[in-house]
This record gives sequence, structure tokens and C-alpha cells, in this order.
Amino acid sequence: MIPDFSKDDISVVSHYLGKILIALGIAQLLPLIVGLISGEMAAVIDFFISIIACFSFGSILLYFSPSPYELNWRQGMIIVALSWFLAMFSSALPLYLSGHFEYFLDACFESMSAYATTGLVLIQDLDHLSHAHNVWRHLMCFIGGQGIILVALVFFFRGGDALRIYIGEARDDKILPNSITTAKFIWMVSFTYLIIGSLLLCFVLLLNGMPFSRAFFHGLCIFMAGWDTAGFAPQSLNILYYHNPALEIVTIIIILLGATSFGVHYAVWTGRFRELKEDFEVKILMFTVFLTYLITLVGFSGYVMRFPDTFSFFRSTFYQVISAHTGAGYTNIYASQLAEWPQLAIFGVIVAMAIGGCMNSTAGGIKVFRIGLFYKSMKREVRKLAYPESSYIKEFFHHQREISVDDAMVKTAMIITVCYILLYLSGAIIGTFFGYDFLLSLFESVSAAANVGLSTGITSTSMPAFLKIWYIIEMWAGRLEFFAIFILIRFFVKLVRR
Amino acid sequence: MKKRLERFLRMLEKGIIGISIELVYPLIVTVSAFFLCLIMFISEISSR
Repeated sequence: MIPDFSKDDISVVSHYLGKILIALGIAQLLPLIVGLISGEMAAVIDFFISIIACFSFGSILLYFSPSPYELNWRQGMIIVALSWFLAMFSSALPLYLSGHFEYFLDACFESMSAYATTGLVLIQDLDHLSHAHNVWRHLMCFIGGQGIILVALVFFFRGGDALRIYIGEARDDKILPNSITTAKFIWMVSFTYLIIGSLLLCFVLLLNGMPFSRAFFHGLCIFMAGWDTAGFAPQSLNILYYHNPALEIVTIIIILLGATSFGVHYAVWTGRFRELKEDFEVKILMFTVFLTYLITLVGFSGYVMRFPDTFSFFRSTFYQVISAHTGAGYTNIYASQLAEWPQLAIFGVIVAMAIGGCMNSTAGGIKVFRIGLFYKSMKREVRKLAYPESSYIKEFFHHQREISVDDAMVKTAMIITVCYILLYLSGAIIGTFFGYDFLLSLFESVSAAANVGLSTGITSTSMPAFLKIWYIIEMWAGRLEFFAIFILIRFFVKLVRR
Repeated sequence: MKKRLERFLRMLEKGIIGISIELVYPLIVTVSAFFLCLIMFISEISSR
């Protein structure tokens, strides 16, 4: 008989959640140091309180749930699902103490948005936020994009436990044979690009006339949020604040690389350069980028003359599409301008957001891999009909190696795709119920669930509390790709029934 | 030790080439998208 959930699971789950809480407390030391360097004593106190809270609760959890036996799969899944909520609450505390949030719920929304690499914001007066809090907002994006679990994986977990937690976080590509070495490789790629990207952005901002310390701070923040396709920026106007085409191009490079699979990064970094041209996922990504951009451009027919020249038309349209497709959510126009776009153009951006980036990248959404898989399985079915019944039809795709399309793979991909579509629609229906336009509600819902962060203005402190909670759930479910959440729900149902 | 250093340098060399290629590919996408936009802009002007 297969053992079902029991109360023993609580002890194991609590033990690992305690470890993750302590890891999050350690992460908050960085903004605390930034606060000390910048002389922001109020921010230092906020982070000190939060670190003490993380360490205290983490220690209590560890004390009452001593070192468990080896983890099983379902426990790993529950830890993943709960750790994101735990991270949301614990990381919202210093944000709320900053005084830039009207309600604690708004601070929770902001921290979930950062961890899920969404980029929707509810912060007030962002332009006057302390450096320490701003670093924390962007660091959360970086931690979330890499995976909260990946943070803990490298430092706290070993052996089989690591793999069970790793898979739960919707990262099923094992680049290297061991999940710890895979996690280390992901961190190595991210840190290398952190140095290159931050310096590149800093250089562009210096040329724009920004003082060095400010340029470096903005460069670092923009990179952390861009690479992890979160879309946070240190200024309330986001990328529009800089009015700089060169910076926009650099951010396009960063977000496209962020939305590319770490498997492809690994191949290219180890000398298999052709992988960038041959990988099935990269090909589908390029195809869908151009397709959704074409839909957006066609949507603008009759409206093109509103723009003074081709370049400003290109900047306004392509930046939103690439930002939507990669899940970055960076924008160089006002939310009100986006809401006034022709409907077909908005639809083009919605499709781009819904599809998202590559699997095993920092991007959200359905993922181009699943779209490609759907296409391949359709092609296989059509070929089956065209050939005699006795024929055995196989369809292959190249994703680091030649892989045959099998029914189990297609079934899992389709389940997740349907779940995403239902999640997108649920937010749109709830938004419409609260009186917002359906298309704009759908836009906002897809933006939350696909972890994009573009907004047409619905996301604001004045939106209904229920909608805020629903968007938090959408960001969480979209980031974890459902299975860990389904297991968590089953866990609670079983506990209640006992 | 020498072998290890050689292996590391070989990997670094490949890594640098890999990073350069990765940095160029988003630029190719951007330039191609610009041409798509240009075609749209010209066709819109010529249709008026």
C-alpha cells in the first residue's frame, strides 16, 4: 500500500522551512550593509527587525522539528509550495516597515511579485525609497528568478533531498548529472552576466550623464531585475525614466538571455555554439517573437502615423512585445498609453505574455517548449492519418540532444498549458466582475500569471483587496507551474479529513 | 596542476567566445524586428 500524507510530514516540512527562513534572513544582511554604507539608519532598523524575526522563527521551527529522515517527493513539493509563501511574508516585513506601503497586503503583493519575477508594483513614492530597500526589492527578484530553492540548495541541502526540492520548483532540466552542480552552474552563469550586464548598464548610464555611484546602483538593480525577467526598476517610471535607446537595447539583450534556457547557456559556454541555432526551443522562441510582433504591428495599421518616425514606432512597440514575451515587464511607455493601444495590438502583447520564454530559464508563462511540443504532436498526428495504419510514425526535436515526442511528455505539457489558460481566464473574469474592461483585465491577469509585470493601470493600491490576493495566487501558481500547489492542496485536504 | 590550468584556460576561451555569441544573438533579433517594423511603416505611408 502506498503511504499517504500523515502528520509526520509536518515535522519534515517544518524542518526545511526553518532552514529556508534562516537563509532568507542571511540574504537580508546585504540590504542591511547597503543601509549602513548609505547612512540610512531607519532602513537598517527595518532590516535588523526582519532578520531577527527570520532567525527566531527559523530557529523555533528547527528546534521543534529536528533533522528528519530523507525527504520524499511529496514532501519536497510541499516545501517548495510553502517556501514561496513563507518568503513572501518574511520579506514583506522590511518593505512594510519602510512606510511606502499603505497595507501589509500591498507589501506582500510586492514581495511575491519580486520573488515570482513578475514586476507588478504597489509601492508608493518609489522615487524616494531608501537604497537599502531598493536593493532588497531587486535582490528578491534575483533570488526568486534563480529559485528560492536554488539559493538554499547550494548551501543547505545535499544528495537526494536536493533533487526532490529542485524538481518541485518547476525546473526539470538537469543540465549536469547532479542537481547541486546544476544549481552551481546556474549561479555561475548568472554571476558572470551580473558583472558584464551591470558594467554595461553602468557605462551607458555614465554616458547619459549620471554620476558613477548612481549609475552603478541603477545598473546593478536593472540587471538583477532584467536577468531574472522581473522588470522592477529603481524609478517609478521604469525604463521610461532614462529616455535612452542604448539602455533599452542593453536591457533587450539582458532579458532575452534571461529568457533563454540554462541548458542552451551551458551548451554555448562549453563550445557547442551551434546549439543556439539548432535548439528547438530557441527556434520556437524566435518564431513566436516575430509572430506576436507582427500581430502587434498589424494591430497598429491605421494608427502608425501617430508616431513621428519609424524608430520611435519601433521603440514603443517592439520593447513592449519583447518585454512581454520574455516575461520581463520592462516598459518605456506609460501604463495609460498602453491601455490606449488598438485592441489587436494589445492582443498581440497578451499572446506574447501568455507564451513566455524557455523552460529552465527565469521566464514565466506557458513556455515556448510546450508550444513547440504541441506543434510537433499535431504534426505527428497528421502524419499518422496520412500514412497506412500499420506505419509507426515518430517525431523528433533537438533540445540539447535528439528527443522523440512521446505521449506522456505531450500529456504533461497539455495539462500545464490548460492550467495556465484557466488561470489567465480566472483573473480576467474576476477583474471584469470588479468593473474593469475584459481585454484589460485579461491583460493584467496574464501579466500576473505569466510573471510578466506589464500593466495597463489596473494594478494599483486602490484595486480591490480580493483582486490583489487573486493576483498573488496567480503569480505563485504561475511561477511553480501548478503541480507543487496541487500536492499542497491535497496535503491540507488529507490533514483536515484525519 | 599544469593540466588543470590548461583545461581551465581552454574552458575560459570557449566561455568567452560563447558569451560573445550570446550577446550578439539578441542584437540580430532586434535588428530583424526593426526591418519588420520598417516594412510596416513604409507600407502604411505608401497606402495613404
